[in-house]
Parts: sequence; structure tokens; C-alpha cells
Amino acid sequence: MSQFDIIVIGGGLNSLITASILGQSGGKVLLFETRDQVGGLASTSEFAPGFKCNVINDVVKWIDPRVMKQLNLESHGLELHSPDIVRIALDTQGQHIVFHRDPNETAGSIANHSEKDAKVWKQFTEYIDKLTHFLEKLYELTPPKLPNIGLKEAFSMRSMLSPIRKHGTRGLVDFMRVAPMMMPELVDEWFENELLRAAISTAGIHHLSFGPFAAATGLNLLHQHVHSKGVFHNVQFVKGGTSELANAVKLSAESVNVEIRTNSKVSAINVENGVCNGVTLESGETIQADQVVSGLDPQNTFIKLVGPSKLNPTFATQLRNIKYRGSTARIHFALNGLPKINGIQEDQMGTIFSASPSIEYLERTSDSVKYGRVAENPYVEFTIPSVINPEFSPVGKHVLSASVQYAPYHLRGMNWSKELKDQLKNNVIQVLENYAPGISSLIESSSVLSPMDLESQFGLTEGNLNHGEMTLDQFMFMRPTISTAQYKSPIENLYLCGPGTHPGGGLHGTNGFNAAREILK
Amino acid sequence: MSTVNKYDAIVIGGGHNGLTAAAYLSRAGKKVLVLERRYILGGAAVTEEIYPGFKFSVCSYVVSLMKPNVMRELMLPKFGLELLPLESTFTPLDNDYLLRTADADQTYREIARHSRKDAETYMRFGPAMGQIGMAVRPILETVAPNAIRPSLSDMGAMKKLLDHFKSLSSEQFEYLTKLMTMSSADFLDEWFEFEPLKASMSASGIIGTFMGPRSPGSAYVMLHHYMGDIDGAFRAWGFQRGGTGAVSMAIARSAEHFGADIMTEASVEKVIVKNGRAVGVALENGDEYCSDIVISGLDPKLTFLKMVDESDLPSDFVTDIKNFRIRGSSGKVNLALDALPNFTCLPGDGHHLRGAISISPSYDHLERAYDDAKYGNFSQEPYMDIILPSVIDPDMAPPGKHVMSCFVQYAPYDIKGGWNDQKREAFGDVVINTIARYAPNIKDIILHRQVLTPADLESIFGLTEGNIFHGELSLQQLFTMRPAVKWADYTTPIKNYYQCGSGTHPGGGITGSPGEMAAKKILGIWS
Repeated sequence: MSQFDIIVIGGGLNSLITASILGQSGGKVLLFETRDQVGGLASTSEFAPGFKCNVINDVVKWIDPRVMKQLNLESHGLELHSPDIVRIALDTQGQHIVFHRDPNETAGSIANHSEKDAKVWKQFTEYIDKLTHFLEKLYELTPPKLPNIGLKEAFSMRSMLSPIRKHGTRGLVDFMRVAPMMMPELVDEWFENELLRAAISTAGIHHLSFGPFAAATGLNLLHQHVHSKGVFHNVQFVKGGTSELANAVKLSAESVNVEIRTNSKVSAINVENGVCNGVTLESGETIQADQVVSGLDPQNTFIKLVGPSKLNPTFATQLRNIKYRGSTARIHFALNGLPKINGIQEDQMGTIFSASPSIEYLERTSDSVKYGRVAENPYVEFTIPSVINPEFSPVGKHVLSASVQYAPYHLRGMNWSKELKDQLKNNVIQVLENYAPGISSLIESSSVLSPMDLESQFGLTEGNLNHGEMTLDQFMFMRPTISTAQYKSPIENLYLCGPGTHPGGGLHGTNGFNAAREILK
Repeated sequence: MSTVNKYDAIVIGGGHNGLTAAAYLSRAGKKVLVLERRYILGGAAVTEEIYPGFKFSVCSYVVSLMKPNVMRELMLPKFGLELLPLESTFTPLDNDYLLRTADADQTYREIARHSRKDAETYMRFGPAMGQIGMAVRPILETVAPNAIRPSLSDMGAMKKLLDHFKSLSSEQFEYLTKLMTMSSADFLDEWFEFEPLKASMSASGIIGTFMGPRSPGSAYVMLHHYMGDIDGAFRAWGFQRGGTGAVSMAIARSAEHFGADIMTEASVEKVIVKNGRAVGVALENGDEYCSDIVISGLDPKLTFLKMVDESDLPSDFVTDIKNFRIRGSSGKVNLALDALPNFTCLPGDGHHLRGAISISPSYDHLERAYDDAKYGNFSQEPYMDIILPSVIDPDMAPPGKHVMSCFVQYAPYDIKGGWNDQKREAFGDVVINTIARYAPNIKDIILHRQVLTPADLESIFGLTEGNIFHGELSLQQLFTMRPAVKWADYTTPIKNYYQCGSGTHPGGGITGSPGEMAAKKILGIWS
């Protein structure tokens, strides 16, 4: 008789959600987190004395509404702030494009560059919104086991087609047309202004190892806009920092008696005769459970914790072939004042800025991945979280957090040494100087997280923030592998709930929600 | 000139697909007229004597995907179709080489020289890809259904395809999904380790495509090339005796045998549309021909944006066609040679000259070539797929002399500053220099050099933007979307106006497939 019904490995957002839902239905749930706090990619930390940062994600793009409701996150303290300005695409001449929640206002900003583009902006946002409706329905489903799908399973997927009622089969066709596209193909159909075209393309390359010329960046763009209600580049800030999202889920889990143990590293998932029966901790302690759910990525779950000897060769090959290739680095700067960005008012500072002058710029910087070096002129997306959460920095001082592409995990002829991290940091400062002259003199200290650091500190294989690349070959029934896309694994009683499963990465919780549903089946 | 000026069907364009459609319709007893703009038939599958005594497959240079039933039904061997096998693929390297031949044992030994593991894998890979090819074939042989408003027969076709997919094993389905979505490099990395082998294999994923081997989507193009079928053997590319023009001529003779009229130097200016129906064509010289139906073998841009007025088409369809991607990425260099090229890594004559010579020493070589093109220049060290037709078919050149066909990537149509004579020659020079790196004697044996840029392919062959496939083979431009949704079944929004070129399903290559399937669809509607 097991002491616990369910053990959840990992304290990231999805793990917490799965644990919480399972707890709600009366299961006795125990969750292990290696680090001293839960939250995973929704963590905050003090990176310099008195300076805090959102370690990975400064914003939430979308949260699965089913999660919000089922876990009652608002009553557990979650406060989301939806800024009016969701993004500013920086222009070296100070003619920035300001993306507002209201598409008409955005169009006004675009009109400074192109009247023609401004005219179709609203239509474009509606078009993207329409396509995401198909994705939203798809995301709610557990992917079918293909190719031999039964009538019953096919029938259970019919909701996927429900947006047709509103958008017609043409809507579905448009979705199928745009998802495999590369960014230039999409923007060519709509826009002429390069700053705008590049600003749109940044959504397609978000946390990807490819540049905008890669097919299916269309899918990644749509993925960023699920549940965004037509707001292009939609973002929400979490009051108190992104970790408060995880804390709200944690409170919800604890309210249904989920036991959470931090500083507890699972060193093995125990499998006997193809059946999972518990875990062993690094301390040597073995804990039995009826079911084990892993929020870790497939590599960590199966290769590291289960062990190759317990896997059948086909499955082991499938696992080996999953593409991770993290290419995003995070850099946090402690600043001794608020930076001055050319042409930006102080009341516009609480948003995301992107340094993405042209599609060619983005593509050129992505070339560094294939040649195994860090980008000289990287794509930099940054936030000043201390503007939104003043408690992040001492009074009068600020934090600037940048996501930097491309900084590939796999390097040629070098490794992620301190020198290389400094070089990357300097490249980023160079870029920032183009828009905020003098910013380098404000820097008191900094912290660079390379994909290698993300791997060692957060257990992300190859530093991939999505637990596997968000590409069409790793989508839906192929995520993480064709044999494990239903949140189940070939090992009985072992389940998956992390971003390595359908529908992929981001702080949305859909993976955890769907996984819980499968486990409860 | 023909004495009859009322036809059952007029085919615009005497390319191999137009001719195939014409032959099928004639075979069914229809009175058909084919109108070709140039002095010679064949479109991109054409043989011309560019330099006295030297015959060139000027544009398309190998035959892969020609459907066996087309050959049989049109009796093409009787009319001169004769495919000679390409014996090898040879990848010269700086101090070594990689040679794959039709002889499995020899190929095993050659690959094992570089990697024993790869040699083993290679033996499994061919059959695996063959199986995937078989798995895809039913899609290629199905008329793409109307996805917006499927007819009863469309539903039937889709049901049949679904049943077919359900019959695949999980492994086959996995490979198929990966091939449809991945980069060719990523796909091959899952199998092989020796980079020149991977690069050479990945190259078939970039041919005719504005992508590099690491671009997602290139694996599908690789699969498209793997479906080459000569005598039922997969990935068995062939060379037509007399050049690819002889394929077109065989089809033309077959069409004539069945009663078709074929006119060259008859450039169609417009399709005559009356009350939303195509009723004939007007030539540039003012002549008009009437017919019950008109079929265009031209690419979608020409078929819809040039041959007819936009006002005769629904506006959303016009948008779709305008958005159809047709970027050209390749050039062609044809050389008349005084002697054989001598490769430093494998001197003298041999098997290696009787097949494809692939200038693809590494992924980086291909990717750098692609990078140049991405940013608006031709590649400084291009990828090339070279054949020496005169080695296989001595009639192509005078005794002792040779012709060399170099398919070159990348040469973007939209080159910075536009193409001009100077750039064309500079492009020719980088091609020769790149070959000279591996076969230094090339510079001393050139008697004549013909350089074709994408702009030339457009002006000579009427290939919009110089795209050899009449439109890119990207996922969103395949099957029910090729060239546009609702109109992927060879019909068009204009009544009695049909399409049969490579811009329709199942796409480019010397297959005869679009022509055949269009003709069969039309005959179905007719009856």
C-alpha cells in the first residue's frame, strides 16, 4: 500500500497545476522540487544585492482560462496587469512602433511609417485572432494516437472543428496555410514597412533556434497569441513578479492538501517490469506511489531518471531524436537609474521593448546558431520589471532584463566560458546603446544565464525553455514523441505534464491541465 | 497552319505536362491543339544545340518521376522515350571523395571507408525511404479535393486517403510526419554521421527551393525527389537519350499519333473569356482559335494573372494567386568541353563521371551558399548538381568532346540591383571557379559556356521568377492548396478553363503527372 497516490516531479507551473487538480479530486499528492522555491521558469530571484528579477519570463502571454477557473487563481492572490502598451518595436531614429491593446491606436503608430500598413493593421489582428481560435480548441484536446485512430477518438476530437461555425472552412484553410509559413511569407501578404514586418516576425522566432526564414514560424507566432483576444503581442504582467503566478498555484495546491517538498531532488523514477511504482530521492529515500507524474522534460524524465535500460529501443531512439537546442540567453542588469530610451516617455516604460530593426537583421543573427557561435548583433527583447514592480530594486534604481537570441547551446570550437558570457553581454550592451545611449554607464552589475546555465540551474535539457523546440515536427501528436503524446508514457503509471507535451511551452498551464485530465480518466 | 480552327481543347504551352494532357485528350478522341510560344517544344524539358555539334538539356536535365502508367498509356517508348540510368552520385572533397553507385556492395564499401555505421544505415535507409515513398504515392495520385466545399467524390477520395494513412505503421507515420515538416539536415542527422554523405543527401532537399538544408520544410523536397521512379526503382534517376527534350518529343509524337495538332511559334496572348466561360485563345499575331475548353500548362501566375483578366476571377482567388510563392533560386550553366574534367581526388574517367556530380562537401558549404542568396546575392561558392550527358549518351557531343550540365544554387531571382550581363558572367565565373577547386583542368577545356540566371529562365522558358517547379514546394502550397484552395483539382473559377502545369498537384519535375491527372479530370467532367 503506497503512502501517496501520486508523486509529482518538479515544481514548475505545470507540475503545480497537475498536482493541484489531482489534489482537488481527492488524491493524496506529493510534489518534489529540486530548487529551494517552486515556480521553475516562473521564478524570481535576487541576482544582485537589493535587485530582483524574473529569472526567465517577465510576462505571461496567455493563461489557459480553464486553469484560471478550476484553480481559482484570483482567490489565491493572482493579480494580472494588462498594460495598455504591450510592446514597443524600437527604431534607431526614435520613430518607434507602439503596439497598444487597442488596434486603432497601434495603427496610429504604424501610420508614422506606412499609411498603407496602418490601414490593414486591424484586419490583420482579426485574421490572426481567427486562426488562433482553431489552435485554442486544438490545445484543449489530448492529441490522438496516430495513425490508427478509432472512430470514438476521432469523434471526441470534433470540437477542434467548432471554430468553423464562426469562421467557415476558409478559416480552417487559412489556419492550415499560415501555420507552416515562414515569417516573410506571412508579412509579405500584409505589410511593407520593415520595422513592422520585423516586429511581427519576433513572435514567430520567440525562443526558437531558427530565424524568421524558417518554415512554421507561423505556428510559433500563432502559439504566442492563443487566448489573446485579438491583441497582437499581448502580454500580462504578474503583480509582485512572475513567481506570484506560481505561488498562486502553489496556494491552490496546498489548499487541497498537496504536500510540497522543496530542496528535494529526485534521483530515480523506479520502474519494475514496465510499471512505475515510485521515486528515489538524492538523499537515498525511496517513496512509493500509485502514479508518478513528471513535469521535467522527456530527456530528464526518461533518460536520466528512468534510465535507458528500462526503455524499449524504438522509444529510446525517439527520445534521442527530440530537438532541444536552446538558443536563448537571459541577461539581467542592475542599473543605478532609469535608462533613457530615445523617444520614449517615462510612462511608456512598463512594457516590452524589442530591438528588431529588420527581418534580415533577425535572420542574420539566427545564422550564428548553425555556425555554432554567439550572435554578434543579437535580437534583444527587454523589460524593465522594476517599473512594474518597484520592490524589484532599491529606490531610484532599476532592473533591466533581456532575452537574447541567438546564444546557442551547441558551440563550435568554444564553450560557455565566463569570457564568452561577457562577450555576449557586451554584444547586448552594444545593441542597447543604439537605442538608449549611455545605458552602459548605468550598469552596476549583471547576471548572464547562458543555455548551459539554464540547463544546470533549471534542469532544462540543452537550455531549451520549451522542453523541446516548438516546431511542426514536434507539434501535437508528435510532442514529445509519437508514442507519448497523450501525456502517458510507455511505462505504466508514469505520466508527463511539462511543456515537452502538447501544446508546448509558455506559462499557460494547458499541459498540466490536460495531463491531470488524462490521469483522472 | 492548321485548317481547322474549332477544337475540342486548346492547350497553352508545349511543355511536357501540356503535351501529356494533349496526348491523353487526343487519345480519348478529342480534337486538340497545342500552342507553343517558342520555336521548339518541351518547355523546360528541351534539348537544344546551343553550340554547333553540342546538344544540351538546356533547363531540366534528369528524369526521375515519370509515371510508369503515363509511359505505357501514351506508348512513350515507341515514340523515343529511352531512359539511361545514372550510375552514380559522386561528391568530390578536397582530399577525398564520396562515391555511391548502383552497385550496393560497392556503395557499402565506399561509405564504410568514411563510416562503417553509415554504411550499415545506408542499406536500411533506402528501403525505409522507399516505403515512405509508397506511403505518399496515393496522395500524389489523388486529384486534390476541394477543401472548402467538398463534393461527394472529394469526400470519397479523402476517406480513401484517411483509410490509407490508418494502414500505415506508427513508425512509417512518424517518418512521414518528420519528412513533411523537418529540415533535411535534421532528418538525416537522425540517421547518419559522415557530413559529406549527409550534405550530399540533403542537397535533394534544396533543389529548386529557396531553402537551405537546415531550413524546416526542406525534408519534404528531399522526399519529393526520392519519389523518383524509373522501372519501379526508387530514387533511380535517369537520363533521357538525346536529352530531356527527347522526353517532350516522345510525348509530342504520341499526341500527334492520337491526332493532336501542335503549333510552335504560336504565342498565346489571351484566353478569350465570354460570359465567364473560356471559348478560345487569341495569339499575339492576331489569330484566334475557338475551342470548347482551354487548358493552361503555364505556371499559376501566368495562367491567371496574364492569360485572363483579373476581373474574370473572384477577388479572393486573385489574392491567393498573388500570394502564391514562386521564388526562383537556381541557375543553370551548360558547358561545351574539349575533354573530360579531371577530378583531383579521383583522376581520369570512371563510374564517377557517369552519374551526378554533387558539389556538396558539407552542410556549411550549402548553408553559406544559401546565406548569400537569402541576403540578395548569388552564392560565391554554390552548390551544384552536375552531369556529363555525353558520357552516358555519346551522341550529345562530337567524338571526344563533352557537354556538361551544371544545375546551380543559389541564384536568387530578386538579386540586389537586378540581373544584368555583367552579373550573369560573374555568376558563370563563380561556377567555374567552384568546379576548378575539384577539377582544375575545367578552365582549359571550355569551348562554350551558356549561363542561365533565374531571369533568363523566366524570359526564355516563361518560368515566373525562374522557379523550376512553377511554385515552391512548401507545405502550404501542396495538395489541396496547390495553387489555391478550392481550385486544386485542375479546374479554375472560369468555366471551361483548366490548368495542368507543375503549379498544380503533385508539383514539379518531369513526371507527366499534372498533365495526366488534369486530362483525366477533364475527361471525367466531359462525360
